[in-house]
Amino acid sequence: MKNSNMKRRTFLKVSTIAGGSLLVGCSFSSPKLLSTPQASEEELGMWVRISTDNKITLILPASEMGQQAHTGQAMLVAEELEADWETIQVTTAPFNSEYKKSIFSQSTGGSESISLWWERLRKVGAGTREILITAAAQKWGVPASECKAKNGQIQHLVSDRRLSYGQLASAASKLSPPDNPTLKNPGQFRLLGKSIPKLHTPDRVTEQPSMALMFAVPECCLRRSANHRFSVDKSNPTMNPRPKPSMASGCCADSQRCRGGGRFDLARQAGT
Amino acid sequence: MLIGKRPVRSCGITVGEVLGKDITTIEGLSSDSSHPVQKAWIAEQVPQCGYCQSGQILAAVSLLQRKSNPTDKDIDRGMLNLCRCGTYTRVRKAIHRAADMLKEA
Repeated sequence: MKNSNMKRRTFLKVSTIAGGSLLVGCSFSSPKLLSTPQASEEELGMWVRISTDNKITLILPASEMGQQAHTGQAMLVAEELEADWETIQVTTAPFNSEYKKSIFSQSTGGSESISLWWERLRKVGAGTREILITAAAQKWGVPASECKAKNGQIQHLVSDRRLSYGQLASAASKLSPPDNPTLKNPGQFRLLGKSIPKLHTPDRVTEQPSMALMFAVPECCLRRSANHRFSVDKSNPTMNPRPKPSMASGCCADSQRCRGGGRFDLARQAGT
Repeated sequence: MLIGKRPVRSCGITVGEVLGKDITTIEGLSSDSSHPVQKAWIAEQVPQCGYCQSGQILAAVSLLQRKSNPTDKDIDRGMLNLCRCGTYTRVRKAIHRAADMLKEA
């Protein structure tokens, strides 16, 4: 084993964001980054964001290209988090993140979205669940062992009191994450192994922007117009336009919205 | 998209050709998935990557305007959009489902 990267741990970090929402980030390379008091979202590798209105946003490492990598990865987190599946929203992690530094990079392919992330994403979910349980136990002044996470709520089994994840988000955001959260046994799975509706289906039938070519990117030579999926910019009205250098850099500077596919297509259009 | 009731490939026509014509795109069908064909598409979980789906859906709308109760053969003949993910069997199921929904409406 000459590669010291083979065994990477998952380091969790918990922080509060605007409005008292809970943010769980993690790093696969260094716990040092996480001890920085205000590590920005971009500096952390992954997030579970729980807002006080019970919305849970998962920011996921894989790109969604139709193989339902997002649905699958969201299931991994939601399973361990004991989240209410109906409250789950997903989004793709930005480029500038811990992923790029990790052995996984941010590539999506080779059927690896689940196999590579299987344990790590579950640990993120499990760690989040554990701090929510701790937060509830502290609020009630009861042992954490008497509390159980279920369907987006923590329940005190003895008194049957319940608090939703949103109600606990602010308190949980001030706690230290566990070093090594306990994962569920496969026998306890509620979501994993089941066939559930794909998260992106409603977007796909109303054509919400979800693909690289469907975004209007300033100065990008490929534009979406009202009646065309995309059209060639009028300043470059040929089938094989060569974008001016300024246009190309302007396009790709917007890495949040113009992702790999956009770059690829732009490069192809440019004949490079 | 649809020009009038006719499905066309928007990439293959010019703006000049559609001047003054009645155009329907996926956005014009409904923005909240409430059109029966969109509802059927969700129920059958048709899309995979989604790239061809707005075209498939509008072609299905057009087909159902011409044939309210299409057979499998009608669907195979009437739906000419290519799908790189191979969602054709689910497209067929969804069109049958949409036809039923339109009949009940």
